[in-house]
Amino acid sequence: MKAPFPPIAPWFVAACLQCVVLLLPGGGSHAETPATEPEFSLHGFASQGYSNSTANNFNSSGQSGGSFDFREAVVNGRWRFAEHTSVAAQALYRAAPVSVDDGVRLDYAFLDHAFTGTLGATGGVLLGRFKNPYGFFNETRDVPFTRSGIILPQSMYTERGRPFTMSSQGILVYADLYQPWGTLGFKGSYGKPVRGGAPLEYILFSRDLPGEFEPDRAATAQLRYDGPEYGRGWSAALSYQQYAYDFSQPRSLGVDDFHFDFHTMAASLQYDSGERWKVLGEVARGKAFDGAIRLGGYLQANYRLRPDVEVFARGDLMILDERDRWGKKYAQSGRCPDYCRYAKDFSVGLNWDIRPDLQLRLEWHHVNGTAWLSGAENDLRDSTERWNLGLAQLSWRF
Amino acid sequence: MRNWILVLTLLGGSLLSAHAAPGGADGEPAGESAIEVIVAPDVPVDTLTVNQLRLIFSLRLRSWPNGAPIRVVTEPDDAPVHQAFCRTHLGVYANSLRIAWNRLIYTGLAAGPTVVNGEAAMLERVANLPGAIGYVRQGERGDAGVRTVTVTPEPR
Repeated sequence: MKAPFPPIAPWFVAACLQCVVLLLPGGGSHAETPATEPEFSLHGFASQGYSNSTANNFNSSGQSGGSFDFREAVVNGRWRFAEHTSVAAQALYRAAPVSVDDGVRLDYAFLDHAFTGTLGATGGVLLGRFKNPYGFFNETRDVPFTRSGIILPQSMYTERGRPFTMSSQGILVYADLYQPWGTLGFKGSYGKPVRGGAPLEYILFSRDLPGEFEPDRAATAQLRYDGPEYGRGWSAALSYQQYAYDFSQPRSLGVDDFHFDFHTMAASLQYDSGERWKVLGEVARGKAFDGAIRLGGYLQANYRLRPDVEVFARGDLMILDERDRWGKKYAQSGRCPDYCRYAKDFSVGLNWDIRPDLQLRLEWHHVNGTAWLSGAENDLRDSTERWNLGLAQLSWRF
Repeated sequence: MRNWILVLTLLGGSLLSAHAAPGGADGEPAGESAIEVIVAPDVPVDTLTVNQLRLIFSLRLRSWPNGAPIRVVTEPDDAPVHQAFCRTHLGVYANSLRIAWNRLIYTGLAAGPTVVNGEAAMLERVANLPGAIGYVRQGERGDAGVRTVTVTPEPR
């Protein structure tokens, strides 16, 4: 199997992180420069996960005794070299069998020029590689400190699809309008997706074929509303995302050309009491290259027991073909059982901020179906319909 | 899998019973005097609405009306004065503010705030950093060379 990027040993990443930490003043944030000088800031995190399941594999969870195979580390820098112009870049190390990830990649690297001048609006343009705005969480889905839970709802944010839905390169414009009734934000981008790599081949063909998915086109658009009291009240978003690839060796599939195209739209809604609880839900509807309509949606409630402890419960549903919701027709084709075409996931979890820079998460999933498992670590023809998954993750940031 | 349920239950139970939220759900910690918002001498505003203050401290508003960059100065997340400021002036927990910061920091769209330890360091930094905004307990301002900003309710 060909790795999607050159492997870099975990010890090397750990050593680099350690060097960065040693070089930083306590806590790490801004370098102490006078305001008229260019400003540089550096941030990052490292996390270690543990997965254990009664059946099937999610980050090797099916191994006897569970698995510590899920690790992430990030270092990012942002340098403001002129009053309104900055460059920012982030390197990401990830070991995650579910997304055939094991190595370091350039997660984003862009030039940001902001157009500003009032307290009522901001706007700007990014050039380079940037995170794709999609739903409430896509842009920061790797960052444990920004989300509830260790894994986001898989119907919308599949771990197996993460490598190619995460970033794209080209141009992105953004604008925020601040009004007494709230903030209205827009982001839109056009360019090329990052390389498809093996994860996409496992989703489409259940194996890694000779040839590559060459980036063709990526486009995103998002309209977002946040209530006037930032951090409480209503938030809503409408998102669109498209990515397309051409397969470089279609003859290995017995065809002359193979074009992969996926369009998806999502609607997101959240109400945050600002104090102890919030409720959120998102729904998505996507159209794949083969005409199948993919549906996903979840509903989640969070409750803060203490300022540093939050618990949540979530119900998540994924359907791979709207016209064959429960996979009956697909099962007749003999490719996999009906339950590989949907997944109902009920989960509960706990997030504990042990210190501002250290966080422990625990969560438990009861899943009916295997639609979001990866063919890279499961034989989907011989998977188990009902299974339980326990996850733990410790994260540290600087 | 039963072990997992047991671990979750035990941990949840012990966290719940450990102690209640410091300062209560909507409280300024007991004994904390009121907090005022301070800015560097060159900052071209005298008043801010509550929403503008929230947008500034969540790093979403990044320029003053004259185009100069806004530089947010805070104390560490677990400093009592920071937690009190978040609750009384912004109406959020410090943890929620940190999540908002992380969303911007890890997409490259903003640098984090400048973090200082203690009120003397806060006064010194805000006084000497053009475009800076921070906070300090009332009566601590002295003659450090910073200005206070009046925070007004949102006009309806």
